Amino acid sequence: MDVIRLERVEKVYGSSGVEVRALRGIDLSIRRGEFVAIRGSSGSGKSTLMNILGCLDQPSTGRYLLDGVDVKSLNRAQLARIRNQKLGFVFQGFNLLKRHSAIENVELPLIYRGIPADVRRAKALQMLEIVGLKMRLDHHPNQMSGGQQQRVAIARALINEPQILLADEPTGNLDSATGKEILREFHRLNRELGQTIVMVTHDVVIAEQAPRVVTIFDGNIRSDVTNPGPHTLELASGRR
Amino acid sequence: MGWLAAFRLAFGAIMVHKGRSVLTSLGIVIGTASVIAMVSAANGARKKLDERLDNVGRNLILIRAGTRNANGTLADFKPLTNDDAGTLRRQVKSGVNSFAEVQASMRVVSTRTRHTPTMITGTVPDFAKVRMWPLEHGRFLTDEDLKKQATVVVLGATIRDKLFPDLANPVGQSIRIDSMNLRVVGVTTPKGRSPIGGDQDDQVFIPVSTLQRKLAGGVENLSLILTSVTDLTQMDAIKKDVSRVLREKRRCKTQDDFDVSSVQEMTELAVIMTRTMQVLIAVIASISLLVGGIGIMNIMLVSVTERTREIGIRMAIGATPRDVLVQFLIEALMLALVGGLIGVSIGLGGAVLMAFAAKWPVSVDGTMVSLSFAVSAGVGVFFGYYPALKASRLDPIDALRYE
Repeated sequence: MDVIRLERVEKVYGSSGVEVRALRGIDLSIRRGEFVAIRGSSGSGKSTLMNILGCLDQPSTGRYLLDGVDVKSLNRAQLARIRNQKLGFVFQGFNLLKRHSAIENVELPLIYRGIPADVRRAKALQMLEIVGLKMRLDHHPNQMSGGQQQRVAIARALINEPQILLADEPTGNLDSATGKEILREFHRLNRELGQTIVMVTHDVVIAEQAPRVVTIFDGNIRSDVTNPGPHTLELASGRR
Repeated sequence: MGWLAAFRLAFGAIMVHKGRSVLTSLGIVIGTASVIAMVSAANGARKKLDERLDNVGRNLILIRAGTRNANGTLADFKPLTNDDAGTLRRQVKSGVNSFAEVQASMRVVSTRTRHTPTMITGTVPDFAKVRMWPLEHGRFLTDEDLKKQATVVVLGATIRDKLFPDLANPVGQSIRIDSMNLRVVGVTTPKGRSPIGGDQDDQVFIPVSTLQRKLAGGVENLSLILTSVTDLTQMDAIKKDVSRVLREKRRCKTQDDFDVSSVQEMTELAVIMTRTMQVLIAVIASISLLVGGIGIMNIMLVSVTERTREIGIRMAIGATPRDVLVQFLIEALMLALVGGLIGVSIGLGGAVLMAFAAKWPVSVDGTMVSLSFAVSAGVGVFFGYYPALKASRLDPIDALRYE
């Protein structure tokens, strides 16, 4: 079953004369349990695609069905609810709230879902354990390494058991060793929990680690390749 | 988002900038503090005035000789006589507690060991009725005393304390005024101060006939004729009656050569002043609250800009526009309420201090305090709404990109 389905999606910015066509008719289907990398250089339209997939933005024309629901008809509050319950975001810059501890950051999506405090805490603890940060729960972002912060962000993204985990250059602010660690984490989540993951990156090498690579160029899909082989093992052994 | 979580969140955000938060709420602090303090002060002053008005008697009418000219002073002096008082007593009967002549003279009164200057009030038995002034000991003056020009005296409580400090009941003792010996027949109960501030118990009462014949050398010159109405609503009608009778009796043609005024109207100036003060307070408070509100709006706008990225993150992970609106609205509300709380405490402290210094009763109005809180909260919500709305309308993509 397709958890994401884009039909002839276009996105046009600006108006009257100076128009920028960021997306020029994207058709894309992603099934539950897939791990897809969306690759493209800057200006290719991959960020716009990411924003639309993340329900932060809406297509100018075409249809986006998320889990069978057309998002076109939804208002801002309804989109917020979808982001809260069906999507999980991992950003390049981690985007943790600085004033809050690790566990408070992880709890945040549950607060907006209206979950009671004791349930929130238990669930957040569980998520931090999954990403291997159980010992750091009271640390604030500035007391943690980049890799640890990104793990907190992943825990936060997964706490509402989203249909899709959206990662936007998740290794961009990390050194290569830590970046690999985070990628390995993604592979593990995909393999062990069947988590659907869509990862946007400009980096060919990182994109190639994913089982399926969609390449965007100039607002169109240039290629859509399914890689054979056990990718996580390659990462684990350090070979390319 | 639940309310508890929202309040906790707002509290956390306020505590991040403690100093800034306190400064922000300063306008509200000053506004509420001045309202509480000044309203309490005005109430206290009003109560004190009321108390003294009651001491004298709200129902009292004073009739004085002389014409009230444009400046409000009395001139064109033709004395009031016993006959004037007698005529009033005969012709104005309904609605009043009789009439009483008062002829006053400042003299030194003495016992064998003590001397003190005081007011000698020559009056008639009905005086006690007109002033509704009961006795603590003995009796008041009688018609017999009046007829015989008896050398008897009724002491005010203050004079009793001055002349007979060790004797609560000096009835039967004698005192001297000039060269005249008088027998003490009674002591009046303490009545306290008048609205003008004079001690009403610092006087002695003797028959008016005794004063006129034996002390004043036959001069008949009444300082006052007093009367009191039985029904306050009839005040104006009685005053008119009194004026009509006196006008006829004294054959006034174009202008009255006497003045009839009530204690109540004499204190009207004070009442007007209190009211003016209250209006002033309201104006000051409104301006202060307005400035305070603008301060809150200003700092909330700064806060929204500073936290654009935070807003973006919250929106990305599922905060609805309403969640963001509520978050910032509660923050503004809390800033205003903290200001209100500090302001009310300072205001109450000030009110107590002022009451202590000015010796009037502490008068704290509960509704005033709760109203101050309510107005503070209203200011917070009103002036916090625009920044909160601005925050809630941010585009999550732009907000996330904001550095």
